[in-house]
Amino acid sequence: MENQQNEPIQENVQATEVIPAQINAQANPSASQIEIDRDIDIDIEAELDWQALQEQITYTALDLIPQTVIEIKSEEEDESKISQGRSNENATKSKVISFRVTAEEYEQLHFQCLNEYGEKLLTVSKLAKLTALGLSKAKAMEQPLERYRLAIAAEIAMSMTDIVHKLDSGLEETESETYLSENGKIIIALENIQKKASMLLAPLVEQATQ
Amino acid sequence: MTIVRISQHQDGIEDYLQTGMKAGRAEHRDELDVRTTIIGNLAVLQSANNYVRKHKSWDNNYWHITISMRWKYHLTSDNTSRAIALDVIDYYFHLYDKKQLAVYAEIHKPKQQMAIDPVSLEKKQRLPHIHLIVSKLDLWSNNQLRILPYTKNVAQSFQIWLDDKYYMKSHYRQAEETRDVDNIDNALPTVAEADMAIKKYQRWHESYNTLQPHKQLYAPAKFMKTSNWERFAKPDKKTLQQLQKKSDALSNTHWVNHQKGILLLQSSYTATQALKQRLIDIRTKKDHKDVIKKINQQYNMRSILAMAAKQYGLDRKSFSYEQINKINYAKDHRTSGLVNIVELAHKHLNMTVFESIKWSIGDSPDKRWGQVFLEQKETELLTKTLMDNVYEGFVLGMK
Repeated sequence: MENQQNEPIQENVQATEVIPAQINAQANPSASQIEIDRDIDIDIEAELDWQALQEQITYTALDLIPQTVIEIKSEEEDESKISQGRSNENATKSKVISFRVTAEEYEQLHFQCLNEYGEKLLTVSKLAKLTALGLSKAKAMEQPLERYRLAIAAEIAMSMTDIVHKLDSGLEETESETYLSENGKIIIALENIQKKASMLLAPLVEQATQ
Repeated sequence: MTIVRISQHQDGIEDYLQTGMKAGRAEHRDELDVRTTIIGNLAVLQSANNYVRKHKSWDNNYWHITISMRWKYHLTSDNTSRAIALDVIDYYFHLYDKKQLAVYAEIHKPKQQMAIDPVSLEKKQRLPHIHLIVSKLDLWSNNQLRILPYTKNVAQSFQIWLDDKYYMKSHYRQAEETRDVDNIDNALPTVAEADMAIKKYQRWHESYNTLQPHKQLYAPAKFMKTSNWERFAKPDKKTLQQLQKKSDALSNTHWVNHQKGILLLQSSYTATQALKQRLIDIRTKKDHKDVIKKINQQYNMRSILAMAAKQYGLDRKSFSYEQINKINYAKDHRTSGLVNIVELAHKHLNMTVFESIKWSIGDSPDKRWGQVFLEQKETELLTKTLMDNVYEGFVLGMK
């Protein structure tokens, strides 16, 4: 309700006072200059006149609104900005930085992101980011251990499948106590190997690319 | 008769295998099926898929192959199912050694016997099926695997060859019997012709996809000789410090967490699990053969069939019952197979032998011996797991 009552006041102020105020502000400086330097060449006078026009203080409608009204309005604006800011806080958290490089420089950066077999290990932007953030030793590094560990774990899993398959085939032919007992022992041994092998799948400490 | 279907996806299968929930289905997988791992290790497949998601930007990350069989072959052993799945891997990934693949397979055997067909809205017998998942990552070269491309004639030849190998009647042959045999164009290849067609096609595929061994940097035997490995095998002072740091961190933190989490998963979803369960079943049968005999003699097959139909949707109309040498049997008219009460629960409802005994005994008050047996065994299970118990029977009992 308070806002609705204030709005007509603003409109009245703008309508009656804006135009004369602007005319006054524009007229006064240029007139004073002309009175002091009447003998100066007309071109210089025009130049000064133009400068004055550039430097003159102009008033906008906002300047003429009573201070109390401005305060109320700015408080409302601040509140709405804060509430908007909260919701968009995460969305606006990261900033974009872009820059241009020559084709040659780009090639050089790109080359740094490849391994000896031409496989891309890091994007150019990631490399640039790490370097720009002061991690001056930023260098694309392979994770050969990660791949190797996975290859070994898969090989163990497949070899165990082969062993299980052979034992299982044997069970179709005989269920003698000795055979069952041997199978039991083998399974215990296999499970122990499996427990150790599962270490290969445990995540390594995240290796930074620096 | 095996039917093989293949599709490729980006993600989702690990979630399904782990959580058992599937989009558009209300029931949990464990309510519907009993699952048995037959090939590989789920944790390895998960790691391979995670690796691909992290380091590659492929359209699809794995192949999902389903292999299903007719009801006639629902009693196919885990061992035969595993052999079939291994043959499917050999066929599609003939260019590779199986060890360079991240593969996982499990059989889903129906617990709930009936499902409503979404098209005809009729009740249908649910069938055992195999889920075979192969990561697209070639673990030795770090490239994408090259699968044998689909060609209708060769795919048909493969299924005919596979059915013949496992003494199953091919659905192609069955369809052929209803056709005009004089129509030569529709004639199916013989097994020898099918085998020849497969090999010819694989040779053609191989000629255009010769693998480059020098690129197989991560093949375990090869890796040791690469500069990558030398960096770790003969480390300089800095690398040694890094390795020490990693090793400490792994032992202190990661290994402990890993033991709590993934190890549990490891023991459940690996190929050894199927064999372990089989040994447990054999042991249970041997240990409790008297109880099983009593159940088969004293319990009424008719009421057992009714109970199975009520609880698990067993197709009651397909079974009749009869008594041979004082033992109660049920006959499945679709396969002409005879099963006693415990076998019905074990083979048709896919329970373990101990679960079958327990389910058959139920809470019948007039069979006091059954209740005593269950109370005694349940108490035993509270203090010791069934598996530990069985291991003692096998290993310690033999000493």
